[in-house]
Amino acid sequence: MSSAQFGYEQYLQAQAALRQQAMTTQYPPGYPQQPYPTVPPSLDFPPPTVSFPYHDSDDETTGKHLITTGLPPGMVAPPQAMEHTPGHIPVVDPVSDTGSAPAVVAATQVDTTPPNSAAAPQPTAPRTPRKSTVEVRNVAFFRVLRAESIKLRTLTSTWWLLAIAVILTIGMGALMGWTIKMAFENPESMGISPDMVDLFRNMEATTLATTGMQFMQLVVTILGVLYITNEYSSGSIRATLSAVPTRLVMVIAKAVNLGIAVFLTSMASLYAAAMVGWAFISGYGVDDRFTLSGLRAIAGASLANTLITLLAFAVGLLLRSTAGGIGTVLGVLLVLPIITQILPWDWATTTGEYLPGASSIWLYNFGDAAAANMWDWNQWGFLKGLWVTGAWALLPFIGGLAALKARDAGGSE
Amino acid sequence: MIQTKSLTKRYGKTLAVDSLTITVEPGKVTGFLGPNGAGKSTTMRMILGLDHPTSGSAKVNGHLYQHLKRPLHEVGALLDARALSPGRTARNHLLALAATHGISKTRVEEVIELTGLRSVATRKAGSYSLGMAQRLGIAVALLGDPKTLILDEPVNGLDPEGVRWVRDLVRHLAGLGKTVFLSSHLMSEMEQTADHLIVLARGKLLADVDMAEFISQSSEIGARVRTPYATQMADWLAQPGVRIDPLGPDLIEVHGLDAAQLGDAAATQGWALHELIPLTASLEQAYLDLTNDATEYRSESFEAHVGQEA
Repeated sequence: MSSAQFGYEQYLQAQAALRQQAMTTQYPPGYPQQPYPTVPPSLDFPPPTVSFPYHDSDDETTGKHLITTGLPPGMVAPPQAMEHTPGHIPVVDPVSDTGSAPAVVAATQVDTTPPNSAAAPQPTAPRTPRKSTVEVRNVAFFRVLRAESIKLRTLTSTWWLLAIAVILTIGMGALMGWTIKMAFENPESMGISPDMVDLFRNMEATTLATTGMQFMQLVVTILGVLYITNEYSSGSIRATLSAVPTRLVMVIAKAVNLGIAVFLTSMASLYAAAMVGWAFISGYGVDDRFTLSGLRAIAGASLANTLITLLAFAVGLLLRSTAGGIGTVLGVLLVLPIITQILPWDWATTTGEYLPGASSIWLYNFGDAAAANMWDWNQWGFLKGLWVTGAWALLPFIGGLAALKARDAGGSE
Repeated sequence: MIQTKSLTKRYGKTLAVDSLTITVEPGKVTGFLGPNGAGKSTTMRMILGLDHPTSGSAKVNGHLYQHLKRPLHEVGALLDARALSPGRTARNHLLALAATHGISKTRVEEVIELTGLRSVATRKAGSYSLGMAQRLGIAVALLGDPKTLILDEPVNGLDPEGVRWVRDLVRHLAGLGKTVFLSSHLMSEMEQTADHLIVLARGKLLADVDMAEFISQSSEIGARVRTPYATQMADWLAQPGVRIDPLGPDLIEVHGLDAAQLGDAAATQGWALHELIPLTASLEQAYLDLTNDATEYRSESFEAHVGQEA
């Protein structure tokens, strides 16, 4: 009951009740009963005139420190000492009543040994740090590169996505190889014209390998987006930037790791796809598995994948949202090409050629026409494919860097 | 050592932090208090270089955070324990951060051991309870053996043992001369942990004082007395400046006189006292008194909305 709920009238009533109770209460003999004072006291009270004897001693058997307080003569007290150990209810031992001088004993235990010294340490109990020397070096690019590589490798989705990319690429290579083999063996039953069979006769193994490129691109772009947006959706970007306050270093380290991972995975899976594909068409098509031109095509395709992944990474960096990032990238790779094809104007068609999906094809298309324009920056060939796709990766990346530097670190709250 | 100079952060029309000038000194635990939305976390993020101040500056150990060569060795921070990649294990999270500063695996194992994460270090962070995530956050903060610690709600979600451990830890670190800056909404915990207080409300500095001074500023003296003579005592003591609340038949709460005066008074009258408990001023009360006017999201009196009898 607090005073707030207690009005003055109730207060007076309670006082009257208390007064009545005090008058009728039976106190033990020896309780000092004083007449009811009529004069209010001053605030300066004199020191008390009653002094209580007390002494302290050490109990020899238990080693406990006892403070014994005597009571004024005539007062009733418990027959013997009560010992109070923290955590235990004091128990009065009825047997050891000696009838000696009445005394109330308050015992305080003086600790001479550390508590719980005998208890086994709990397995998950945190400890107080010991003084240790920790070697801490300056943040440097190669260290951040290592840190970001640990992060890429310990992201569960990395392995899933790369595995799907590898399986898709090899699977598509195998499927194409098998189909073409069937076409060679039974052109009539498959409804394939003799001209088409002639075309297949010049099929390169690496061309089979790059059949799955578009699927692979979709998968690795998801990795590119996730690698950065994962930091924002989980909020770990704050821990990352606390450790590496130079944001450019952090993001370039991420991009390098991502690029290397995607390039190597692409190389390996495309090469594997070329080998599998060749197993089907050996004897019919061109064997370019171990030739320089074959490797060139696979490396070019891997470069295309890498640049598209960096584009996805940059979009993720700008949008900071997994769904928004993947949606945007898929829009650029899948939807925009269709729109530019539907639109009737020439400029739309031309624009379509400059979209990253289309321009990246020139990085691994070394057909006759492309080979002729290979180093012409203005005709579609390797060089033009490289700078257009490179611009698609680089410009959003530079924009992402600028935004990263200017904006607050963010991360979900 | 953390110093901010006219630190200001504006989000659109909202002034989250308003020209805050504070110094968090080494060798002490400094508590950072304020109602929800007062700008505590924003201030901490600006100190860590995560958010850019609209104006003003924040320096750690004399440098802007962005210019620190070994940030993890200068500042250990726990901002939001839940900010973990859910698919990554505690050990890998620590290893990645350690790699940026060339910190050894031995040290990573050391902080795992230190924070009691040994048995869960290989589990994915997504499966962690809040308490485990807090321990990991503290492990991250301690990783680089920093001179300054910034901890936002470090005991949130910890079990009693963990709460006590954090308290002992920050006291220990402050004893080593390190700067400890921590926020908490648990006033009783803060009261036991901090030496100095910085109180923020609506982005403005309300108080920057030592704990004892802060509590005594807004406290009143008094004691709770249990005596069979409660009525006589209440009548006898009644005078201007003394307020007496009867709490029960033999229990009164006296405001305006301290326990010593009451004890002495009872002795002169020969009144036996069965209890004499000084009314201790609490940080919670002092804090509520101070921030009462400045709370952004004030809870309305619940009596108006709940608890009405059917």
